[in-house]
Amino acid sequence: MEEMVEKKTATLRKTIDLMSGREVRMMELKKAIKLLRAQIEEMGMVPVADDPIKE
Amino acid sequence: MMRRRNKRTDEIQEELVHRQAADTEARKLSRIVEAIPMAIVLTDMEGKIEYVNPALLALGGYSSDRDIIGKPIFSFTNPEGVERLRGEVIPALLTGETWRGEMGVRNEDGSFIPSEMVTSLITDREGNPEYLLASFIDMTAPRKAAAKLIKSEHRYHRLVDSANSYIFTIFFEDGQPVRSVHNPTCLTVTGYTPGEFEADFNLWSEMVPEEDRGIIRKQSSRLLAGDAPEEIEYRIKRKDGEIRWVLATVVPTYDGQGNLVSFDGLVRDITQQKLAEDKLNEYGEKLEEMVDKKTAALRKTVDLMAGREVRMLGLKKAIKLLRGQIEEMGMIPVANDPLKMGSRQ
Repeated sequence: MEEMVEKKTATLRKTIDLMSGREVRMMELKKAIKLLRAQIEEMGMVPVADDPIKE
Repeated sequence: MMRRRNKRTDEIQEELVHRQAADTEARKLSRIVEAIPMAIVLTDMEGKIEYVNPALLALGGYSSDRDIIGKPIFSFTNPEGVERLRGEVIPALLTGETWRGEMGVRNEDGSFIPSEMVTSLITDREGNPEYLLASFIDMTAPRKAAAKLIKSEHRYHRLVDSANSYIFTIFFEDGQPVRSVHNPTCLTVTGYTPGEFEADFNLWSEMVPEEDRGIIRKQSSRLLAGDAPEEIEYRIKRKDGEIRWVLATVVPTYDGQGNLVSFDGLVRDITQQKLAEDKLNEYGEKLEEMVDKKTAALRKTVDLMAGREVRMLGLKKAIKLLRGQIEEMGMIPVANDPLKMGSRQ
């Protein structure tokens, strides 16, 4: 039983690590969208897409 | 003269008949001695062996009597045997007594076989000592059996006398329990003395809490029906009020008609074992609960992660559209999809 708890905890830890990596990457994607939108707006145009998860 | 000769002929014929009868008798005895499973040795009055039967050869593992005949009987026993022969056996025989006792018989390989020896003196017609007759019975197997029995009894007593178990017997008449006998160690387990059980026949069943009496009744029904009993666990309330768990094993006795006469029961206090089992179960339940909690947290995380993946796809799509819009205008986009560029996925 204890062994089972250990296994489950290890899996959970791995998942959390993976998830925190995803969060960093999402931030990078959001930053890229912001830059591209700014570039388009500087040219006096309306960007065709927005950040879909903008808070 | 003629009459005298006839008389002599009659006498010779009569003696011949007697001798023939004696010879027949001797042959018969000889055959019996040869066939008898008891080992037999015949010695002269000096102890020199004159005859051994096949059973003696078999007892000692000898292939023939060649190495035995003519040798002193003292060389076929151990030092204790020699001492006994000289100090007890021969003096007893010379006073007309038969001697019976233990005697080691030397095996062909030099080891000694524990035997029961019976000796007697054979006399001639005038009553003068002529031979010593000794018979032997191999005691190896009976001794082993006795040792086994002693060991078994020792184990039985150790079991019965152990502090946490005791034996009782319940006697039945017409299918009803009428009397019980409990051994003294019942005091340790139940707090009651054998005398208290004797004075109050119902005490043994009243010790059992109402909720467990069904187990006892079921066991009694099984025994009365002639079915094989099972080990049963139930609680008893000790004299001091403490509740204890016991394990009872019973052995029934039936009369010739198959009616239950009595049963012997061995009661063992298993309270400590039960408490340990309960603790183990409790621990197991706690662990299961812990595993369930961790599993739920994991599932939540996985769900969350799946949502993030969908959102990430949305972000990537937006980047692609914005880059396309800029490139259509002949410009170079200031940013690229950061996940497209190499090592990261």
